[in-house]
Amino acid sequence: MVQIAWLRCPDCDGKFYVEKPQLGKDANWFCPFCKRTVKESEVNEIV
Amino acid sequence: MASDLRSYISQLEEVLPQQYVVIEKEIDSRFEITALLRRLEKADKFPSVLFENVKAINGQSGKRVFTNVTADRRRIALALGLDPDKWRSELTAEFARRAEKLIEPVTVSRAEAPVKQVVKVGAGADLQDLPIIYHHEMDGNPYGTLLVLTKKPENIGYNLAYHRTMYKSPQQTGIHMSPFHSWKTFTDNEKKGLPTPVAIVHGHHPAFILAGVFMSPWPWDEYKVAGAFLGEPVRLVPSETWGEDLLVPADAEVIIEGEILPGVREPEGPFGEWSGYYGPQRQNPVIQVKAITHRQDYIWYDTDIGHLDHPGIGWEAEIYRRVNDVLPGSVRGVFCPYSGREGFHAYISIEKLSEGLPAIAASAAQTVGYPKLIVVVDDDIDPYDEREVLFSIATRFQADKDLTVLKNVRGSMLDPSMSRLTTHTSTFIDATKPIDEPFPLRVQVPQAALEKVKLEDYIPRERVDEIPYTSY
Repeated sequence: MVQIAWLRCPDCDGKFYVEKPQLGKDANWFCPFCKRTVKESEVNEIV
Repeated sequence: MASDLRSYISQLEEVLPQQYVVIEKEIDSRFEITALLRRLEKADKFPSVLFENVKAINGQSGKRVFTNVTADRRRIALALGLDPDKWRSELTAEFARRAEKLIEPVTVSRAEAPVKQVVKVGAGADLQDLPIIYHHEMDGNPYGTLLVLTKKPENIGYNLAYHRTMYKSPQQTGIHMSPFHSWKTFTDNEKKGLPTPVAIVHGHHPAFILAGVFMSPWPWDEYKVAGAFLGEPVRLVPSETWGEDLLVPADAEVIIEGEILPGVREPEGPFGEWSGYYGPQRQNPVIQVKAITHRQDYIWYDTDIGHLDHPGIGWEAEIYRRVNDVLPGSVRGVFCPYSGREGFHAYISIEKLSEGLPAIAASAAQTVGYPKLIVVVDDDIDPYDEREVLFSIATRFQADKDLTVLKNVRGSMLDPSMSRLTTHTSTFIDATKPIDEPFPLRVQVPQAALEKVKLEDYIPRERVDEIPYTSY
């Protein structure tokens, strides 16, 4: 499998995925549903 | 008059009117265009569609969008000026043939360039004015799905490439580049701390657009390739931002000029990709928009990515060209079928003159794009008919001697099955008959009997039409 990780937006609860090897740097991510920019440390769930 | 999107649409209306639909009713660029295309797809219908009244990102109505152009190969044949019925090997071979006769572009004045009818620079260049399409549910934002042109270093020429560009703000887009030519230009500039000038081309004659999927060797100027496909010189005009240092196509519908910023990475994606899956969100480069120029009544050209409207024929034609280079005169056809997303599978039909030639053909094909399954068949097998290809595998292939597995080959980052980020495992199936030992003949009815017995002499046409189509 391509390495992905699911994130859950803390605002709208929307789930989307990002490239897993890019995690761990507390980068900003972007919720495609509510458009909030969210820090990795703020996300509710990483699967 | 120069070839452009309008000349192509006129030709489509005249030659293939059944394949062209105009929709006047208002529709939103946010999911509604792709929802309508899915309805058509469900009914096995794949026309080109011109939407006459589309809402832009800012909600303004009345924008025009043309999409789904390459979802039927007959329309691609038309773009090259071929008889639309010649969509099989004739079309593939024509692309390859034209790529051998590159045509120099010409430069025209701004006054002669339709794409300069409206010029917006600085704060006036606002992406929200455009009907950029929201394609799939989990897409990060509206996406441009067309050509991004860059100038290669040391003036060796221009590169045209399909790249997804994600709307971020009125003057910024994200961009995803696989590690090919645009990526090379960008990273070379980035190492020097320099921005990379780009122009995003939304709308031109489809033959021009197809140059963006043709896998030209690095030194080629792809404006010359586009000219070869168009059959005439591409007309270029100085850009607003860089003047003659970055020439843009004069007959385009919309040009977005911008710079890929060095040292900047921001989240981009997810995006529903040609593989049929969402590519994950990544930290990707950002384009700062500098200018937008367009025709007064522009038509926004969109690719319905993730579906049949994926112009994989560019890869197919380059496979044909490279296999033909190593086996001149032996190639009967090359097909990259939709089942393999027009890029993962390649079926190659050759006249097998000696053992070993199928492996030569497969090796040449391996250098183009990301083929994971390469099947070489004899010249009595139609590579454009998957049932024939599978028949050949079923009856001419034994895995212990005819299967080759090649590990750690460059793959597509968009292939969800890859275990590593950029490499996959490629499989080559030699489904040809041996030529050094006897092999059974395929069943057939005598040709004389076929010529004598006509269907209509025995079964009325209406009765034939009533019989259900069997597709398996």
